[in-house]
Amino acid sequence: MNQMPEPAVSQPAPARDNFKFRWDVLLLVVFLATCAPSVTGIPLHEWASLGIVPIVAIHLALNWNWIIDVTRRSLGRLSGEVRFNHVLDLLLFASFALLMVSGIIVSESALPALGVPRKTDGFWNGLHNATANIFPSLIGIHLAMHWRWIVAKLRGTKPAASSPGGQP
Amino acid sequence: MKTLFRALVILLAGIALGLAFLPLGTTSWAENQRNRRGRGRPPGASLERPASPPGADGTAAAANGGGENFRGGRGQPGAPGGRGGRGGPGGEQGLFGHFRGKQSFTGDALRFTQIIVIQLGVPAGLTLALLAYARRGRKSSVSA
Repeated sequence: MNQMPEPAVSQPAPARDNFKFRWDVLLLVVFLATCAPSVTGIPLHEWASLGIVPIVAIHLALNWNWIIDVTRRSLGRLSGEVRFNHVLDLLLFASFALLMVSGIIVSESALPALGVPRKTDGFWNGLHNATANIFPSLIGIHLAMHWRWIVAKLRGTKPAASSPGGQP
Repeated sequence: MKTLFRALVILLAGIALGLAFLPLGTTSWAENQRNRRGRGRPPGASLERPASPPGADGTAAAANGGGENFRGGRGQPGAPGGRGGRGGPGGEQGLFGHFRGKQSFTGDALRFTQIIVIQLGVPAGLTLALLAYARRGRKSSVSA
């Protein structure tokens, strides 16, 4: 049986690609800072977590073409790697939303500072902790899926065209 | 401008998805979790465990649920003739929780190493190994 060639996903321009890489580094640094509330303290953890929301939104917006392209093709023929990447990204988005909602509900510092009274809820606290423990692992897998792109960017070389790297 | 507009769309989609999770809190599963976990700390309560009273053989009061960020309370000096209270037990550990009660550079460094090596590095390493295995298999099936 003949293999149908996969339509190429549009490759970003180098300047935009470099900006994306810098933005991703910023995202990773802020993310790591939010990962350890025992180190940073609860107030910084909460404010940084709220601050990461627009950074993530822009990270996704920078990869908009890939998201739309692959989502459109998701019911058709896709390579295993691209499909896995797409499912992983969906999982990341959903768990990030859950992490944020549970974090906002159990907020001890940021929301009370904005005048929203604090609600103590063991369920949301537990869910926040559980999601917070799973989320870094998903990020680890996400980084590995784009490892070639990351290494190429660090070396200043052009990433391989076949790599799904450079995409969310 | 286009990127910002797209970011706004993604933000709204994220908020909608987040709001869709809210009914989870009203399920019987949530209620069971709440009953099992206890009621948690009262609003405004300190993260510190209360110190032992002067002279008491200071077991700090048990944390009332939740507790990942609790630290052991410090004992107060004893009343004349009494013994100073001992510090309370350290905070309850989460799955990858807090292994110390005091701020220290070593503890902070350990926590970040734990996040980077165990929580990020291990899944990343496994994925890289699997990807290499899959790519090698694909290459050999093409050349065969």
